[in-house]
Amino acid sequence: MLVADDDLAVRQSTVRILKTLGYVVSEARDGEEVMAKLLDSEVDAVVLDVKMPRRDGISVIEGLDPSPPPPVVLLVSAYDIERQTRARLGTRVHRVLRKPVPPPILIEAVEEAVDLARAARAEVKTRS
Amino acid sequence: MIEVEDSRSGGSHREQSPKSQSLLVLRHSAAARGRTLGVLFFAGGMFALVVVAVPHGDTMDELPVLILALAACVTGGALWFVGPQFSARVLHFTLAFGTAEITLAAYFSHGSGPSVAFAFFYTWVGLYASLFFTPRQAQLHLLVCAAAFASVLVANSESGGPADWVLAMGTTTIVILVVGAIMAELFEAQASLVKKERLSALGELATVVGHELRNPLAAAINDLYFHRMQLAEQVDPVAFSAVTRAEAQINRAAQLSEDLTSYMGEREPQLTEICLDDLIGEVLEVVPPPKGIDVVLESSVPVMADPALLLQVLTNLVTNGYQAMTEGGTLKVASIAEGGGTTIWVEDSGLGFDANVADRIFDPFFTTKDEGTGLGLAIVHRLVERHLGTVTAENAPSGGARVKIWLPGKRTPR
Repeated sequence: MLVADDDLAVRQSTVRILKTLGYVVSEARDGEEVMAKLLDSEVDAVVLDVKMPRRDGISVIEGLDPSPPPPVVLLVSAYDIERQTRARLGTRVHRVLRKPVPPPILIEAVEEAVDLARAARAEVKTRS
Repeated sequence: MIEVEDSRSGGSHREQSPKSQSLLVLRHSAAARGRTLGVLFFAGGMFALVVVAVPHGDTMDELPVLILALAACVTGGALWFVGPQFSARVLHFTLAFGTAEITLAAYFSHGSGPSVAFAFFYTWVGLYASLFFTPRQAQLHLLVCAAAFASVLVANSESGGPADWVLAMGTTTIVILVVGAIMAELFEAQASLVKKERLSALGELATVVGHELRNPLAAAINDLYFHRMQLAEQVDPVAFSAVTRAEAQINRAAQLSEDLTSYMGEREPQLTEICLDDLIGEVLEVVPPPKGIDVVLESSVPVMADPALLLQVLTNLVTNGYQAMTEGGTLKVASIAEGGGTTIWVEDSGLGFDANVADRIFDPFFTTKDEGTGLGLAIVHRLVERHLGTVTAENAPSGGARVKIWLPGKRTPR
């Protein structure tokens, strides 16, 4: 799992909950860090904040390489996401969550995302 | 079945809301002003006829005064009876236009040379200057202008007799009345603009604060949830209950922040044709149905609305529906073309509205729930109103609550 948010308190509190539930979680402070961590390690799902310095969440999604199954994205935002942007991102975003996200909803979304990512990876392996 | 129509959207069979009461006061005020001005015009005209035109006998010499007096009588009489039907703006415009004509006639009948130009200059400079003063300063300024104007008219006349004085004072009175009315209108408009700007600034501030609060609230919510998870394992009921309470309160604060941001938002709707199926899909993504509740989209027609604002409206109605069905049930959403627009309704299978509170459910901060902010349906009302639509609530035959919104269709440009 990867949790990307420029707000330290939000990032650390989210990571704490997910680690307690048994997930292996890393952190990123901005979009550039997200891209670097995705290159370095295998990540099933990303909890991705939209508004971040250097590179925002939307730009990160648009820069994801689609050929290996990319991580399942849970987009989190304190602001409304424009309808056109949401349509453009399409299935590259599994769910859009509005801050503050109630932890039970986040946990449910993360479980779904991880299941989806593992299923996609298994399918790729079967094909190859 | 209880039919509850919201008075702010045109209902008629319940007490008037404060808003409609204030509109009524405004109308009465405009009517009273129209009637008063009518009486003054009529009285002034009659005075000029009785005191000046009739006793002098020489009709040709006093012809301008006679014409003006008759014009004042007719205008006054008309305003007396018809004036209350007009809006304040129409009334002031009519008076200003009529008086400008009468004043010009007076100038050219009884004045000549540089003093006419001086009278024009003094009067109109005074009128414009008065607009930039406070009401009290403006009234004093107008009185000085009026006195100067009347003196110029009399000094400019050939005889300086009673006819000239009546004409001068009559014209001056009319000018003062009309300018006073126009100034009142302008001050009213200015006050309204200032209020609108303040509300807009307040809305912007609420939006910024609301957004900025989301991160600290998110962190606090996460940490409290984490602590509750930890305490549950340590079997410490007192601490567990304290954290649970704190968590409930912080969630309440988050909801209030969210609702205030939505309620104070001032954005004008950007209308586009929306497919209700797609929008309901987005709503269910934001607020997935709890276990035991099914959401059924019964029928769907396109609707003209701002997607983000209608999403907010439907999210609030769907959330309300969930909260009304604590034992589970079915939430029906449907839309039909009706009355040149689209009617959308959201119906739950809960217990319905209590008849005693049904007429207040759209009021801000009114709630029957322990945890509610009381802004959910107020936001619905406000956003629908911004679309020039209407919203009503009733108990469905099945017993559950049904909220209906009507949104106008495509508007043809004039």
